[in-house]
Amino acid sequence: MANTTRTRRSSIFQWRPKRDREGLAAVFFLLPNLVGFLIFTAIPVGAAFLLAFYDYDLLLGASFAGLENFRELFTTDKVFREAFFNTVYFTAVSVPLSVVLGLVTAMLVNQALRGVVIFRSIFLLPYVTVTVALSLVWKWIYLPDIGLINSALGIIGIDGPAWLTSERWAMPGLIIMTVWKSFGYNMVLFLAGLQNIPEHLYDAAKVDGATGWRRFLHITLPMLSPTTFFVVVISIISSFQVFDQALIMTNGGPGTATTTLVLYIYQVGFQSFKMGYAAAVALVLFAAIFIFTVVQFMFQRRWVTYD
Amino acid sequence: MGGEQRVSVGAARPFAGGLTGRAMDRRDFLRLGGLGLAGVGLLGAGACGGGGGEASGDLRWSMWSASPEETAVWQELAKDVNEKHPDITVKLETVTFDDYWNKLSTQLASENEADIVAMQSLRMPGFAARGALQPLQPFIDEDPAVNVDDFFEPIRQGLSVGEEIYAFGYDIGPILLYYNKNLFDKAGIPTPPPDEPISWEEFRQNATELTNAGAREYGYVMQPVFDFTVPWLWSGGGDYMNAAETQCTLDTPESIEAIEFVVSMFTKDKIAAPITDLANPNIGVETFYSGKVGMHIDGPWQFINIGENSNFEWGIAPMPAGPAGSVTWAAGSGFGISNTTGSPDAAWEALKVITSTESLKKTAKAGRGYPARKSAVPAFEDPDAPPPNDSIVQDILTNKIAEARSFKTTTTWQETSVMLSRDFSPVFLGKQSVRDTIANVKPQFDELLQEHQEILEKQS
Repeated sequence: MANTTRTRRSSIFQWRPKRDREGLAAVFFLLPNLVGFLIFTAIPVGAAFLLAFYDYDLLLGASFAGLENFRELFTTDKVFREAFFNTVYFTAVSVPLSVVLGLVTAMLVNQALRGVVIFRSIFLLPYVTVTVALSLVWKWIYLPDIGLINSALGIIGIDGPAWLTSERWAMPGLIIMTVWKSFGYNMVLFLAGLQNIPEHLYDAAKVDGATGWRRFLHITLPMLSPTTFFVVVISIISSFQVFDQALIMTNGGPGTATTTLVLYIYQVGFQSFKMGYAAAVALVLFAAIFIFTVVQFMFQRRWVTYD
Repeated sequence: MGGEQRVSVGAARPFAGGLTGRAMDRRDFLRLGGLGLAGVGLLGAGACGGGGGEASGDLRWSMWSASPEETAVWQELAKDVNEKHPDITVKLETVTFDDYWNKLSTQLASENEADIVAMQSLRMPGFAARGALQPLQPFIDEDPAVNVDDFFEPIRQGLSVGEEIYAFGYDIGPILLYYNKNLFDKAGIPTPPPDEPISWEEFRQNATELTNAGAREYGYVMQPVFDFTVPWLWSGGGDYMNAAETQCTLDTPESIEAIEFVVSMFTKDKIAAPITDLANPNIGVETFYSGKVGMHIDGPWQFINIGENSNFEWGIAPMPAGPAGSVTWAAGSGFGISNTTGSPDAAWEALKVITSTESLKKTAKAGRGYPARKSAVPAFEDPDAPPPNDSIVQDILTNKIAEARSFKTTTTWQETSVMLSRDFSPVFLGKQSVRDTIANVKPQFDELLQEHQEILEKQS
């Protein structure tokens, strides 16, 4: 592995010292992803940040508007407030449900029974299915008279609500569907976390006479806390960006009951063509997610135990 | 979300072997990779370079299409242009209807529009104000052979802004009353006559008698959106905005009464099929052709759809006549010449061919839509295909048995639609009274009309 700068000259890679050669190789390997990231993510995001301070109708041209968009957003825009509240409501309910369900199912499939792999696949299946397709099917499930849920409720004598056309139940409907869809991903992550807990901790606890519940509380949960932290952060970030279900199942309705922030951005930007204003909403969404994530990272020292 | 594993495909074999020859293969791989990237780059450059030739004859034509059959119809017209003018070729670019407006807007913003641009009458004011099309009057003035009066009045108006014509229509559709003959016969009531509109009272009577909630049959179904409320609004003597387009007039007594008439069918009397889906733009017509509803209002563009999907006899009649008579809206689409085309004369010649009587006869025969030219109508009327007496469409368009007005929209109609779908459509669910809904909608509508006026002023 000696430095071969003086021998073969058949390629530019041979001229340079080995260190540089590897550096160059690294750059070439990174280039496709980097170029793609720059062109399709970094530059558009930067442009959107700038656009938020303009009044851009897409066709009537852009005029600098300073903080006007934000002023309108925070003072006179009722729909934005609704959208923000709806998104927070959606996140606050769907994330805990999805995380808990993921953990419970992970513990269930963490046993070395025959055929448990089939169950792991079944639980993961909704997650890997396209959200649009699932939304269409769940629209049928939620039909008031003949849908699956209300028919089942009818059998036990409950008069089911008009789900997707009811102001009160449309959002819970979306939440149920999203939890069903996403818990599989959390399950997989928790499964990995569970399998990384050394068995000897449980053995020691059993020897000391700890019950199942106490073992869970004092061994499983703390050892899982890095995984839980990751799952919660990721779930919150993606919950804030819920869009497909809101567009396909209810189109933000009835009224603004299920208008989420990303759906509102879509309506303002791509249906009303007010790009500057949409960019401003997107900026606010970004700031909200960023703040939430930073806060969680700050708190992780309190409750996450890394060994 | 979800991890994406990047496996270096193709590099597996060199690395999978022993240590000898390893360094060689990494270099080769890098060389191959570099060449590959360069190749892709060239391909990309080549693809972007095409389009918009300077020669007098290479035109791009953008249009929406929902199926290969539809695209084939337009392709044939493109070929016709080339046959009549061998030095002009037309290249068709299609996307779905929903994507078309996004695409058009982005193309406009980047000044990359096609030469011939399809436009819908409902969206004409918005796009004309934003410079999408150029006025056709200069071309018409120099070309006496063109007979503009052959186009039905509502589509001429719909594709113009004020007196300025921006596009020639290819189809036109007045909203009609569809009925399910089988259900009428079952209930023992006569179907609406094709040559005379029934009254609102008669309509309500029919709907009540046709409703059988136990069997989930209803008298009437309608897409629960503002657009389909407008024929009722107009037949009741109301309107959504004044002629000067400065004020929303939904709060006049006539308007409120007309809207109440429709909404109460859903909320009070329950003779209209309940709304179960707010996100499906076709739920109205789908419910109709499922056979459970007696009447539906929609345009002639649904003839094909209903014909194929229904298994009952059906027919059409003019909109029921309210206090102001039977008034319906007509809208359609057409083609215009973009403002930034490099070959306006070639585009004009192509446009004439595409919207000629012959071409519209072809599109009518293919069922693509009721033709916008009076001279092409015979091709649409097929005595064997339902509905019977589709000749009434022409009578409605020429105001013989009912009144058809062009559905007037504003330059801010995109935003207005979004607002209406959010704040007006819930009135059909019965959660909010008609008066409260209108009280909520009117200030927003007024504001949008003000913005519309500001845009118009900026143009002049």
